Order: sequence, then C-alpha cells, then structure tokens
Amino acid sequence: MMPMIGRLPRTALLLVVILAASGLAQAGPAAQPGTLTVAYPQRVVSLDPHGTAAAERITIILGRHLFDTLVTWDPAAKRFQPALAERWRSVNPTTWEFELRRGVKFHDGSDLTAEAVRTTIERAKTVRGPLTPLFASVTAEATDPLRVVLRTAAPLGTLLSNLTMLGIVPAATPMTPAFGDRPIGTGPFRFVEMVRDTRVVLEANVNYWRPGIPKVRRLVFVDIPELSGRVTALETGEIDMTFQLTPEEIRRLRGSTTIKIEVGPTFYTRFLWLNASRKPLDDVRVRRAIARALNISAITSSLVAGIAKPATAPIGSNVLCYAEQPPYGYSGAEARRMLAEAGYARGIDVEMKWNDALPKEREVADAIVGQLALVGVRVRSTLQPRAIWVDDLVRLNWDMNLLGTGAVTGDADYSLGRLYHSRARRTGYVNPELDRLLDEAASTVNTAARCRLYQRVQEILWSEVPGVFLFESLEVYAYRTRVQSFTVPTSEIFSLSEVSVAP
Amino acid sequence: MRGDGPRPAGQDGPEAARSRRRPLVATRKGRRVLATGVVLAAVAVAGLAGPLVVPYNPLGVRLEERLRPPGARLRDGAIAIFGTDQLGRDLFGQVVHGARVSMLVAGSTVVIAGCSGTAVGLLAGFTGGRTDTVLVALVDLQLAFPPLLLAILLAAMIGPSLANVILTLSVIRWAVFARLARGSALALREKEFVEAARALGASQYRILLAHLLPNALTPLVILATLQIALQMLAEAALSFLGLGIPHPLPSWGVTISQGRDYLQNAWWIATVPGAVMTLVVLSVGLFGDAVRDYLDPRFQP
Amino acid sequence: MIGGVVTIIFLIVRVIPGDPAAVLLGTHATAELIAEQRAKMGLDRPLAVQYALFLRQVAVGDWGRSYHEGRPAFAIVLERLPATLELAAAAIAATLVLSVLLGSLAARRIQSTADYAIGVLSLVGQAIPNFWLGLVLILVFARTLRWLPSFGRGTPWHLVLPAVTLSVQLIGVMTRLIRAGIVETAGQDYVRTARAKGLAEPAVMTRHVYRNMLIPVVTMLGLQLGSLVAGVVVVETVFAWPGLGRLIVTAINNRDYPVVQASVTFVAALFVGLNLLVDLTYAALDPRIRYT
Repeated sequence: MMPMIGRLPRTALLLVVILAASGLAQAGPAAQPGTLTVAYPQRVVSLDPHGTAAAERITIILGRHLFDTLVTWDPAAKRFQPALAERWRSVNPTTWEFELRRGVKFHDGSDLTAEAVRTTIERAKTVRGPLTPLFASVTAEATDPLRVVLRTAAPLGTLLSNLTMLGIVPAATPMTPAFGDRPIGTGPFRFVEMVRDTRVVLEANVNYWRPGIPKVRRLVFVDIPELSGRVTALETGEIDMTFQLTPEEIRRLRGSTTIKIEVGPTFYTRFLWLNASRKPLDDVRVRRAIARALNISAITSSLVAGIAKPATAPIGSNVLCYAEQPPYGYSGAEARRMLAEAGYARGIDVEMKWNDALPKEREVADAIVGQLALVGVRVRSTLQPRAIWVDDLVRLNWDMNLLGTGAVTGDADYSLGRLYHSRARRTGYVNPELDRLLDEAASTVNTAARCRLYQRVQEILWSEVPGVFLFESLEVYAYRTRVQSFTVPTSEIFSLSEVSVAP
Repeated sequence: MRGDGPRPAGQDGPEAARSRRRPLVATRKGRRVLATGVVLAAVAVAGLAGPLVVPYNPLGVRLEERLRPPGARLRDGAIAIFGTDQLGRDLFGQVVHGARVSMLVAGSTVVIAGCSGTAVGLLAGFTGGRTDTVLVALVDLQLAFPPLLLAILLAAMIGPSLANVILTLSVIRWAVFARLARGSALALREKEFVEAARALGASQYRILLAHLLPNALTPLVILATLQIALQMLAEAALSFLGLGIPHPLPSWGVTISQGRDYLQNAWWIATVPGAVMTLVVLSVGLFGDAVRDYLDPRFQP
Repeated sequence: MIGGVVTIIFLIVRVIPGDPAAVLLGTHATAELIAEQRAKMGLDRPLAVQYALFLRQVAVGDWGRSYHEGRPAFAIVLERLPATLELAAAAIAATLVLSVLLGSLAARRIQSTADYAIGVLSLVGQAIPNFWLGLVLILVFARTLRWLPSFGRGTPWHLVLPAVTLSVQLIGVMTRLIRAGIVETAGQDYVRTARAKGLAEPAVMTRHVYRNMLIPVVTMLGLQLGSLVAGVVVVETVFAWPGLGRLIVTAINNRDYPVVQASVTFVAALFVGLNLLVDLTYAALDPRIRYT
C-alpha cells in the first residue's frame, strides 16, 4: 500500500494551494485606466533637480514632469519659447530681465514668485552638482513679485540654454539634498512616492497652468534593471512603455501588433578618448592612426544597429552649433602606415578603460579591441566598476577611455567647453588656440557668432583627435498601442504630459 | 559553527584505514570511483588539451558571423557546433576554453584553501592552549560570514582578475578545512602511536607531518572533492555578478552572464555553457560522492 | 565576535578601491567637486579617526546615513528585510514539501525507475548554477508560456519563479537526505514492530519515520544556510527582487559605505543567529545533546 503523506507536509501543501489560489485572484494584466506605467533601466539616485544627480538622464526625465523651467528650447522653430517666464529681454550683455507667468502655483499651493527663481538660482549654486558651474557667475534679484533680473559676471552666451535645465522650486526650499525625496515643483505631475530600486509614482497636477495637460491620471516609473525583464513585462502588458532596447529586441518587437517601436535622436555622443599627455598617444599621428583603424560603420550596422549612427562631429547633429565633419576614412593599411611613420612599425601597447553603463558597451569594447589588434595596436581592455572608473577618469589615469556624454542643455558649449578646455583637465589634450576659441565663444551672446567659433572648435577636435568620436546615440521607444499621441522627442529627454492611454 | 562534509577521523587507528584499501576494481564502491573518475578525467583532458585543438581568440571578432545558431555553417565553411556569440566568436571554442578557466579556479582554490586550512587546523588542534584559542576565534570569525557574501566584498575590494578570484575563493573556504583538521588533530593527539612517537623524542613538526597528517587525511580528501563542485558554482556566480573573472577571458560565468541579453534571440549563448557547466558540476559531484563512499564506509548514502 | 565582524567589514569597505564621491557625482564630476564631496562625507579624515567615529556611532545604534539616499542606513536595511524573508521562507517551504514528497516517493521502491529518476534529478538540481536556472525559467515560463511574471515583487505569483530558483539546489540536497533517512529507519526494529502491531502505514510514517528524520533535516538546513544566503543574492539580482541581497550588491557597486556596513553586518549577525537557532533546535529535538 502507498505510504501516505504525513500530517506536516499535508498542511504545508494545503498552505501552498491556498497561497496559489489567492494569487490567482490578484493576478492579471496590470494595466489600469488612466495609469501609464513606464520601465526605466537606470537607477534613480535622487529627484533633486539641482543636486549631484541633476545631469542623470532619468532624473532629468522625471524632472520634466515635476518641474517647469523659465524658458524651453523649441528645436523645430530653432528658438527659445516662454514657459514659466512669459517674456524676457537682454538689458545689456550681462543683465537679463524675466517676467513671470501670473497665477502659477506650486504643488504645495504656494505661488510662483520672483523670490522662488532667486532661491532656485542660489540653490543650484549651493547644492553642489553638475549644474553648479553653469550658474556659478549668475546672481538673481527679485525686482518685484513677478519680475526677476539675472546678472552674469561676464557676458554669458549660454544663459538661456542653461535655463532650460533649471527646474524652478518654491521660495522656501531648503538648500539640502533631502528635497530630492519629496520634490515640489510647478510641473504637470506632482510627486506621490518613491520606493528605491522599485518605483516612482507621480499623479496629475489638476491645476497645471497649461490647459488640458496632463492627460493621464497617474504616471508610474518602475525599475527593472534586466533588459529581458523589461521587454517581457512590456509584452505581457505589465508595463506600457520602456526605452533603451537592443538591436535584437527591436528587430523582434517590430513584428508585434501590440507594441509600437519608434526611434528618435539624442544629444548623446559616444567616443574613445585618447590621452594625449601619455606616450605614445601624445603623437597626433598615432591618434589619427587609431581613428582610421576603426571600422565604425561596421559596428553601427551590426552591434548597435538602430541605436546609434556614425558620429559626424564631436557633438550630436541636433545640438545647437553642430558643424558636420568628414568621415575619418577607415583604412587598416593607412593606419599601419601612419603608425610606422610615427616610429611604431611594430605596433603599440595601450590600455583601454571602460564601464559598461552604455547600451552594448561590452560588445563595442570587444569590437574596438579586435579591430585595433588588426593594425598592431594591442589593447588591454579593462572593464572597471563605476566607482573606480569615474575616479580614474577625472584623474586622467588612463591611456584610452571608452565613454559617452550628453550635451544636456542641447548647446555645443555644454560638451565642448566643459570637456575640451585645457582648464577642465579631462582628456590630456592641451591647445591654447582651442582654449581661446572656447573662452571667446562662452562670452559671445550672439548665436550665429558663437556657432562660427564652435565650428572652428569642432574642426580642431576632429583633426587633432583627442578622442575618436564614434557614434551619435539614437533612442528607441517601445510602447503598447494603448499609449496614444506619444511624440518622439528631439533629444533623449521625453515628456509624457501630452500622452493619453486608452482604457 | 560547523564545517560541512565528513566527520573527523581518528575513531579508528591507522591499521584500520590501511586494511580498507583494497584494489579499486575489487569492490563495487571502488568501481564507482573509477567510473566517475574516468568521466571526470575525460572532462579534464578536454579542458586541458581542448584549447590546443580548438582555436579560440577572444579578440577574433567577426561581426558578419554574429548570432549564428548551433550547427550553422559559417562563410569560411566551418561549422559552429554550438553557434556563435554576439560578436561572431565561436561558442564551442569559448566553452572549451572556459572549462580550463573553471577547472583552474576550482582546482587551485581547493588546493590552496585545503592546504592552508589543514595547516591551521592541525596546528591549532595539536598545540592547544593560546594558539588554539586564537586560531579557533579566527575560524569562527571567518565562518560568521556567509561565504559568497564575503567573496563579493573581497572581490570588490581587490578588483577583478584571475589571480584575485583564486585568492578570494580560497579565503572563503579555508576555515571549513581548518575546522575539520582541528577536530581530527584533537582526536588523534591522545592516541597511543602519537604518544609513542613523542616518547621516542620525535619533534613537534615530525609528529605533525609524519603521524597526524596521514591519519587525518581521509576526511580532508573527501571534503576537498566535495568542495570542487561548490567552487565551480561560486566562480560562475561571482562572474555573473560582475565581480569574477574579468572580461574577455571566456569563463563560463562570464559567457552566461553576457548571453542573458540575447536569451530571446540567441538562446544558445547563455544556455549551452550553462548546460555544459551543469554536466561538469554533476560529474564532479558524483565523483566526490563515490570517493566518499569508498573512503568512508560508515557513511551510508 | 560581532565586534570582529564589524571591524573587518569596516576595513574591507574602506580598502575597496573606488570613490563614493565619484560615483555620486558621475561623469559630470570634476576633481574639485569630488574633493568637496569627500570632505562633506568625512572621507578626507584619517582612517583611524573615521573608525573611532564609526564605532562611537555604532555603539549607540547609529549606522550612518546612506550617501545616495540620505536616509539612515539601518532603516534602509530593515525596509528590505521582509522581501528577503518572504523569498527565503517560500523557498524553504517549497523545499520541505517537495523534498519530503520526492524523497518518500523514491524510498517507496528503492532502485525502481522512479527512484533512479528522482536520484538523477536531485543530483542535477544540486549542479545547476542558480542564476542560469533563473534565466531559463524566465525564458520558459514568463516569456514563452506567459504564465508567470518575470520580475519584481507583489502578488504570490511573483514569488513563484524566484522561490523555485532558490530552492532547486536545496531540494536536491534534501531529497537525497530524506530518501536515505526513510530507507534507513524503515528497516529499524521499532518500525517493523509498529507495522507488526497493525499500525496504519500513514501513522507509521508520521510517528516513527518522519519524526526521526527531524534531526538530520534541521542539521542539513543549518548546513545549507550559507548557500541559501548566496542564492538570495544571486536570485534577487536575476529577478529584480527588492531585498537585502540586491541592496548589498548595489551598495557595493555605488560604494555606499554606510549601507554596505549596515547590511553586511546585519546579514552576518542573522547568519550567526540562525546557526545558533539550528544548534538549539538540534538540542531540543535530541535529548542527548545539552547546549551549554
């Protein structure tokens, strides 16, 4: 006869059955009317719009929904548009006057005042972060409740571009990063909760100053670090939207009837920096040889197909003051010849440091190492944990470094001035002419004149190769068809304020 | 705390241990040791000699051949038995070369941890007194950390490299051996033959090496074979978490970890090395069991 | 002992290369900004001073504040605890139920096909790398069959795949143990006596066989605690399970010293405590053992 299951395991079995049954009742599609669920691949460090995470993409995206800025950049019309500032004028090259929109309220009920703008500028300077240098020379004065004057120490051509990054916070906001745990702005959504490594929940601001916006009641950002997890959740309807997919996933999802895929431009450029303060990379011929040894289009048509295209300048093609440069001209033979000419006929040994934060960075790193090996550049490829990589990067402790950066403000100055001025000490490349051009451009207010200077800067960077500019990133948005009227943004920063969801 | 595995030796004398060792083929248990050992040796030979036969160049990127399924014929006419990976490198080559890395790590860490742990344990158990107290405290401190957690911390501390992974995985295992060896030494040091050696004026080290060690060896060998499988899994887990064998050495853990983004489109990249690994760990485990049954007849499976 | 653990963790954490200030600031950092940030975090002081301050705080139960979240590190650890306990409890429950079932089934007819199959399965279960198993389960059950959610925590359904992944290795170990135990005790005189005096089979199993299995089962669970902790770290990473394991991995990557210190010490203390609990249970179950 069969030995029956004992009493103890039988109780446990019953328990399992009950658990499973209760789960059955709760399971089902997560889609709720009026709620839009988005999965993001990055970790939300903080929602403080001025803090240390202010240039992190996910912080900027969430900031777009929580805060407003004084002005916004309209890439279609190629000009700045009013937002919280209804109108503005340049009194003289160092003085700007902004007139604020009337009747705008913060999520906590307080009014938008000139004092709030003054606090915001002070905060950006006090709470140290990536925005701090942008506003270091700016002082604000509230001349009347809705009028604010910004003064800069010297003429500042990028002031308006920089202001498109500055989320305005209430006048009473403390100068501590704790604000990032409970952010208050004037934006289309108000903050509900943030559960670390899990989700951020926002709900519609019914008193938003732009009528009819937002169109969804609730916006939920869920954290799913694994790509396969994100895509599966999208396919099963657990989430409505995600971004940053791989070429393989894009190809597969394109056949789906329930999921739409759209590709848009970004401000992001990816490059291989070559440390010109170290041998043998101090020789421009070696740096040029490396640029010519890389078959960039072979990589963009396979490994990063659909998520990047070959770079045509040190900055993205949709960044203000972009100037197109000719391709490097891939030629292994030419690269070998240039190396020999520089006295390295037997090749060189260099180390490449990198961190795998960018999409497909592992594969790109391997491909670069493989391609360079063909011309005698023997690369030791060192994948570093982020904590070490950033540290080494800013200390210039590397031969070659594989990375990328976004021109966060959409202005050439943000990347070029910040990274390639010798004062910045970022690449090991020093050129007094470049410094002079960058200084002049930064203090030029006229956009056309500024762009002429940046054009020259881009030519120098392209031919002197402090880095090989590899790709311009593209962004892929995948969403379920219940998401309606999503417009592909002109940069990687998207907004869901005008998106609605079918029930 | 406790060490997993067999019990300390010493309940019976050296004679008993010796009389047990009849030729391997003569007993059923012995034949099992041989059978599983042959399988394992075949894997080991494949891992050691395979790299000489199967070419694999981690830099051999062939973008036009990427993501080919198992059995696909490549443009140069070769057949990729296990398919190719995301960069067009041959997966079979990767798996064969990965076997070498995996075995090197598992083997060397068990040897290092085993030797150092045994030395500490015998010394503590044999000397007693303050040395024992200090060493036991050290062992207990070590065992207070869950092994992989400590490995993660250590790996993050000393950075990813092959040598560091070996060091890390040795550090997390020595205490288990120390514990077992100490137990054996405690039991053995009161035995007549040790007393006799001492009476004959043998030095401490001579007693340790010539008398204690040989008699304490059996359970230690059993423990070592059991640990090999654990170490293989630990290495893969570390690599999976990004703290193990550095890219681009083709450790199985690294290959599986990198293949996970391709699960839907190229399932073979993560699946094939995982299956091979399961098989190898399985045969190591079977071998360990067989050795234990053979050497420790009191243990009933 | 905990003092030693705390010191070791403090030292390891400080020796880990990489700068928490640099992670916090990211690629937009400059050398000056990083130096400023370090000063703000108190990392510019000598190690001995940092250690003294750390000990003084720990003595009053203050583990410092997370560099990233600004909240007390210990509160963050406690917040993550339920998720991990839920996962571990589910895995242990699944292990006990399944291994008793499979072990009994195998022991029913020794050397039958079923016995052989279960034996092979439990060996395979012990040999499968758990992160790989997790990936394959996601591929099969979440993606292809769409039966179960692939990530995160919420409904009991979310628990299934991570708990199964975590328990497979344990099930392998326990099934073999239970099978061996039943085979051994079933042949004992007292069991034969019980049968001979006409006791029904379920009663024999419960009263005599399973009860005698309790000690080895508890012992083996204790022995497997270490691999359970390891499994939790890996499984939480695979399934985006918001528990302690994932907290530790992200905190190490971010060099969030206070959180690493608090969480690793907490887990080590938990580990020691559970081991002690196992020893005590052992003593309670077996009257011959006195725990002093």
